[in-house]
Amino acid sequence: MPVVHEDGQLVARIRERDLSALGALYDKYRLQVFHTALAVTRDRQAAEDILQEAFLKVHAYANRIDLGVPLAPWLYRVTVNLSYTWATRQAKWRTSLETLIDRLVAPPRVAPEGYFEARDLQTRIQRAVDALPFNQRVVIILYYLSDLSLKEIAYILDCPVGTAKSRLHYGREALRRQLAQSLEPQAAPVLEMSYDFT
Amino acid sequence: MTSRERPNVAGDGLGDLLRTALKDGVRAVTPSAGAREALLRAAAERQRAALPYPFEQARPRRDDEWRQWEGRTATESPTAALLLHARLIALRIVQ
Repeated sequence: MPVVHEDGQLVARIRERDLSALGALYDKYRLQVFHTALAVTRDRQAAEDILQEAFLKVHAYANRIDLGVPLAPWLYRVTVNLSYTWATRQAKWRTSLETLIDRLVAPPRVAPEGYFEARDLQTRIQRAVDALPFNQRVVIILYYLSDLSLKEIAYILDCPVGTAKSRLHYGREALRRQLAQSLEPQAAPVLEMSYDFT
Repeated sequence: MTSRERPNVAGDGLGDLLRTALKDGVRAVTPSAGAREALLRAAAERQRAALPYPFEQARPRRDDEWRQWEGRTATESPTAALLLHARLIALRIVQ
């Protein structure tokens, strides 16, 4: 008889239409799913939607889930896919909105100066992570926030371990460059002083 | 920010910075109190309605619809049903 993981026992109960088992899985994994979605999307409402959608998928696909392994990797995979869908839609919406603004506003837009002039370090790091391409951002978040191994990340992203490793490397390099630049000491302002000798 | 206060983004220093910043960024934020209840309610609704995921209404097969329609018409008027039947066969051949 195959060994059933404790998550698998709950999934088996969901198959029997026992919703308290879905509640138990939610209690166990809600923060992992929510925080991953929040870190990727930076949008609380989107993270809540993704959280609900991910567990509704557990409910809907309970018959296809392997009962012998922990549910976490499967849930992470669903969370990342849902976050990707959300990010893609946002990007399309943002692009069309920016196009519209470009047409409406005559002067050309310039890159915001002092983007990295955020006062606190966490904000700088968060902005640097947000600026990464989606694939690198997800690997950085799964590795540093969720503390997953490269092998687990590769499973979640359905890619070879080498690909996950390379995305982590390029993501780190991009972050290092951006952060080093943002943490450069600013040139001290030249004060114009005048003295009145009377 | 002096050089002593400036965070170390070289080597493992970057990893520590990222780990701390990412975890601090989400730690205090939790799903809303009603999220669990909303999930279970949505799951119960889907379960009750026995809808295939995500929202596809289980429709009778096209052939069943045809058969039901033909049967209902036949009880109303045999002649009309016969004519209709011929038209339906013709339609099927065209399709």
